[in-house]
Amino acid sequence: MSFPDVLELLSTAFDVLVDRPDNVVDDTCLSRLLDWIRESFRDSARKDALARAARAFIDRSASSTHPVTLAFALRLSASEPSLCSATIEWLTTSGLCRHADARVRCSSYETLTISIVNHYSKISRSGLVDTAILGLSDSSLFVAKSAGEFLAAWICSGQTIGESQFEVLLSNVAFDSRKAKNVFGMMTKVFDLSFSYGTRLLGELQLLGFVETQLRACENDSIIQVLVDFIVHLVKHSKDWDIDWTELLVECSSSTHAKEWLTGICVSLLERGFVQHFFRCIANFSTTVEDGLFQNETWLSSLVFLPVHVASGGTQEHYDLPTTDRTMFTSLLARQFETRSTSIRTVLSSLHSLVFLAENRRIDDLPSDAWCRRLISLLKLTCDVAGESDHPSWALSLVGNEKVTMTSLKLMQRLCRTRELESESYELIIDACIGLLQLKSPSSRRVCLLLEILGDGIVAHSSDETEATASISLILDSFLVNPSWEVRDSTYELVSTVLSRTKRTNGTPPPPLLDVFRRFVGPTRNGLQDGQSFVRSSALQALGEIFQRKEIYVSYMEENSLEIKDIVSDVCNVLVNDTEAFPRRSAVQVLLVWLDGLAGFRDSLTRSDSLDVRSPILDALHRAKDDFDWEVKRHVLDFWFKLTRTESSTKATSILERANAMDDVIKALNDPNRIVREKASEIARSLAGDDTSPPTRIVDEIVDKEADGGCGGELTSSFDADAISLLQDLIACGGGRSRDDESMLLDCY
Amino acid sequence: MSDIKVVPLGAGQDVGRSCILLYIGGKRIMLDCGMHMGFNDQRRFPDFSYIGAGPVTEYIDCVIISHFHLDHCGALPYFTEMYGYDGPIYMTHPTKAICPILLEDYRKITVEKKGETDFFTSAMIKTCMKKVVAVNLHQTVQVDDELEIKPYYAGHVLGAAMFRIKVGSQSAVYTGDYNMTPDRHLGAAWIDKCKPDLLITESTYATTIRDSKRCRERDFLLKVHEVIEAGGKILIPVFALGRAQELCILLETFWERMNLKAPIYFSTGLTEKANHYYKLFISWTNQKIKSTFVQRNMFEFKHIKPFERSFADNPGPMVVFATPGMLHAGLSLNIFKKWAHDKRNMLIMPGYCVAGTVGHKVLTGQKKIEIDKKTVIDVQLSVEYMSFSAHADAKGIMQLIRMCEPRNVLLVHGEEKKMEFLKNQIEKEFHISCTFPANGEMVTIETDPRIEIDVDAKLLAYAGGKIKSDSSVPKRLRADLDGDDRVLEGILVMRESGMTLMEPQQALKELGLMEQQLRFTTRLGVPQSAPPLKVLSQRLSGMLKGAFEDCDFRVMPDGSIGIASVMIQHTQGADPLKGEEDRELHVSWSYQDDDLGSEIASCTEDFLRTTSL
Repeated sequence: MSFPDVLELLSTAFDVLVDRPDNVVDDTCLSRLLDWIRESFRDSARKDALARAARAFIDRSASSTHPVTLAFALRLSASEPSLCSATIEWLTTSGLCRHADARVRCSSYETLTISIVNHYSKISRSGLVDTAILGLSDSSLFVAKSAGEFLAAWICSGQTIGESQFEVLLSNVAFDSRKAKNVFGMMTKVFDLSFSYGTRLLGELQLLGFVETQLRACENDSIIQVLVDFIVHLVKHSKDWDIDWTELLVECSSSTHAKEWLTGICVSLLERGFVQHFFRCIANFSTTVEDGLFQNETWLSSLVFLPVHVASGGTQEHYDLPTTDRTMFTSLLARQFETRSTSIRTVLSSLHSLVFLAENRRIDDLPSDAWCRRLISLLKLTCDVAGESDHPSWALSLVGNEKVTMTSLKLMQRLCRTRELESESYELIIDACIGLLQLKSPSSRRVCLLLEILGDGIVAHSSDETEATASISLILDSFLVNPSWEVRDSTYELVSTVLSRTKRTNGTPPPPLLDVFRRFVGPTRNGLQDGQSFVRSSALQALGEIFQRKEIYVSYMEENSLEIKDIVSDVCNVLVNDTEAFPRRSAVQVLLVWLDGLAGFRDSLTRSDSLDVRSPILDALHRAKDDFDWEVKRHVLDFWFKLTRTESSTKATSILERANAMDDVIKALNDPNRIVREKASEIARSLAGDDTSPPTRIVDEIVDKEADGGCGGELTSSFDADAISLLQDLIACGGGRSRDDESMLLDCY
Repeated sequence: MSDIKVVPLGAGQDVGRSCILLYIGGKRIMLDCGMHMGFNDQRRFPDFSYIGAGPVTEYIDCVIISHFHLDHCGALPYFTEMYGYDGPIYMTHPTKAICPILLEDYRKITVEKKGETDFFTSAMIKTCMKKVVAVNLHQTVQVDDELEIKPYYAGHVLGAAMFRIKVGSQSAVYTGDYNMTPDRHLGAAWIDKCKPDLLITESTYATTIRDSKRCRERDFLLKVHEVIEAGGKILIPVFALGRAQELCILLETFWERMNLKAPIYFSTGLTEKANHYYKLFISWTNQKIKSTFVQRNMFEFKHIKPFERSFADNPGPMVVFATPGMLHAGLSLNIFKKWAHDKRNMLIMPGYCVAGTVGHKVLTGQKKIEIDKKTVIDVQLSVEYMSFSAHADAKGIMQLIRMCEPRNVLLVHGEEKKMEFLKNQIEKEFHISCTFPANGEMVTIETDPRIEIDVDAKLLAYAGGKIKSDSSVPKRLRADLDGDDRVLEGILVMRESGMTLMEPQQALKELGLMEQQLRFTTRLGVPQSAPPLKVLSQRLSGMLKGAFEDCDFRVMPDGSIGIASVMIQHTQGADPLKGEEDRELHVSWSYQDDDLGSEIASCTEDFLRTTSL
């Protein structure tokens, strides 16, 4: 279909929107159509004609009262600045920014935003800025966000906001959390667009004084959250934006020194019991210790750790925090430990902030063995296995709290993954995991996380300690028959993770662990029969890793008089017979990794004298070309590609011909699935290569495809095809069948 | 914290991705985490940035998924694995089992069609599902110290549940999608009279009283029969699980009764998969299926066989159930391409189709459909849309409100105009407030943190209240205290069934407890300069008798003085360190006579001071 034809369709669709908007029941269609129009405006060859059609529609829509038509017309005008001129008049006179329908209000602000550059004087005179300021209190978050985006763009275009407007802007912010969120969201947007305008606005509004007053007095948690978000944003970008805090803090009562002022606010938050926000501030400030506002203030991360330290029985004297601060913060935190709920909240907030710090690699300032011991002590307490210990009495409220346990474990996992620990720390972690895994009936979620941490520990720390290994062996054995599929799955995942990660670092698991894995070969094969497809898939991946380690599988094979062909047969059996795609995909992936990882495997596929291995694989791969799952088919093609890519095209062709795979590749060139076709095409091209005598069949196929306009005969532009399809749908809806359409839409899934 | 706040991020005045934020008793709960199948960019997911700027796990206490449909769970892997939520997720066992199948189906289609990379992977679906805590019907789950949730049967699809959420004295019920009438394989939704502060209910059919399902079934079977008799083929595009099973039972029974021979096929693998789940969760099906399960499993079909691709070219009539349900890819589209040109054939669409899909085009009556440059389908076959949707209609919604007696209702998952109509009906009939916020609009529900306590009738009579019988609960009386703020004193007995304020003696009797006396004692030292104890006791007795003449006064043989429950005794011993006599008066009194006891102790203390002078 040519572009003029598409334009004609578009005009008809516009008619439907103006004349029969009730029939347009699916607004996703309109949103996607707008995407296409926006993109098309970028094409200079299309721009003028498209603008004419759009302008005609916008003119006709001005008399409409239907929100669908109005909203679409406004958003359409916002898609191209040249269309905005007439719309601004329309917006000024018709009060669409205050329309009853949120879609219309939202679209009005979108149009205003895009019109600022060309029509700022009109907007300035129209009073729409005042309307937008009121729009920050709109009942719809979407409208308020749009109004905020308009105001941010307005301020950043150099326009000024009067004193009375400032008053309206900040009115009720201290009481109305929704407005507070929108106003400070707008401020943040201003900073993101232009920090110089942001700083100017901050000064003009004397905003830091306002923020300080509220943070020290406001009791509304949601408002505090908004203000903390804003402060955190400023602090994190303070250096990039070159914020002159001294000047901005002139109006503030407590201090003109940024660090002092910010710390004072944090102390106030803690004093007033807003622990979650206190830790969020401290943790975020801590991310600037390298070269930001809080440079060299490494004690911040220690402060975040303090509740964990105290809860786990640590004493002040052994804590790395300047003495004065330590005394003050310890006594302030002690107040939070007076009741059960505030104790739990304080420890949880601390843990959440520590997870955040670990993810941002800001935990390195704490000595690893210290946090490790404390964290393990806390875990033992929450899991009620602490026995006689030094925990303070308030910490007993943490016993049995699954949230604290899980967050502590997540912290442990993040620490294992983000920093290099001392050997002793890993030993502690492994022992702790073993201990906690041996507890009676923990939740499957906790077991899975513990197994992940255990895997990380084993990979990082090669220990010859046989006692721990014996325990691991017992745990894994019992978990393989656990009624929860999640636990069985994580157990197989642990094996494959340990083996693949040690392989990547050219390492070897310690000998006692190799013994464990040797005993694991049989159970892993049994896992291929598990009732849960995810577990079968993980068992297959574990098997794939095991059979790349001769030191693990050889003794098992000898003891059971097995040969590689038996294992290959297991994998092929899954590929051919498993009812679920997930294990079938894993089966092909195992064959793929064995091409490089299993000694002699690649050769056995290309040699005709190793039929016992070769024929079941070729047979399974040949059958998998018709798999219902396109990813299985793609993996099969990946397999052929990997098998042949290092060979000359003649040799590669010969390998594929001998494997009877050439027909499969050619067939895949016409597969209904695009990704399968693309992969087949890649193989075909590699086979054509630069060989002097390219294989005729495959080249012929490629030539045919290219003559059809690409692989699989797709439309020249799927971008236009999508739009045409949407336009046809819109027009068809407008043609009637509204009752059916309505019930169809309602009959959702 | 006495307010409940609700913000729909999706499903506010629309039928799209359901995602509702509920703020109750200081807790924040996400109800459903659905996706919009009509979009293929970020808009398909709810805008989670509205939750807050910090780590999302800190701001959301838990996520509850009502059922496995993608408009209710489709964004979950994105939310957990890509957006960073790492807290608890709750859904029923069948939902947990079936969810990954639908998510994976959708992922494959999305990645295949658009080649998208910014989408969750299969591994992410698995990791996400491993974090889910599966719950049983009517199991009260303690999310943390304060927050508890409880699922109820919702009908609609296998495993669908409504959830009651309770924090302290505040509670809300979220229905997800539900059906108040049983169908071929599922039962009707049910909830107890939990009187939540807020009921958040779907309102898909807010204004519709749906025609009998029997009529729709008859219509469906008639059309199938006509086509089969005329030698045509019927294609029914379906999603893997859900409505397909209901239609299969319908056709199986019809084939049996009519002794029809034409084959019925279902996409290979899916029949087994569906069967597996229905067998596994048979307790979630309706009574008929449960009761006949031992003799014959209704999901082991005699006439419905697995389909192989080559069957599409077989001559003669047949019925094929094929996925996906919107004819946008895969087997259903392949079969459609083969059969569309033949007038004798029929396409039956039993569900929703997103705009832009072939299914949507066919339903809107388009006769030439361009699939790709080489393929333009000439649509000659007849097309029928048959709704077998399992949502509650207006009558059903009212029935649910009657069932659980909420104090406020909030409508979601429906259309604005229809919601408005239903809101008026609800307010008129039940005299409770009803709202229907748009997406992104926060609604605040004022709650009255009132705790209901039964009061012993004797205690009420004592307080002077007028006692009437309560028409709503037999054997229960209602007291009218004429709007007075009177203080009732009694023993509060807390049981699982509720709380009762009782007279102390009645409470002791019911709880089988002995009454204990609590006495206070104060020791007053007698100065050395004071006269001997006998003399002192006589003087004190005289003074107290005069001061407390209205009270029951007695002097014991040992010299102790009794005034009502107050006792004054003297003790005498030697202080070995000082080598002196150590003399004390002990004044003790019961808790009930606290005022009198304190006063006598004070008088005695003054007396000792003056005597010593």
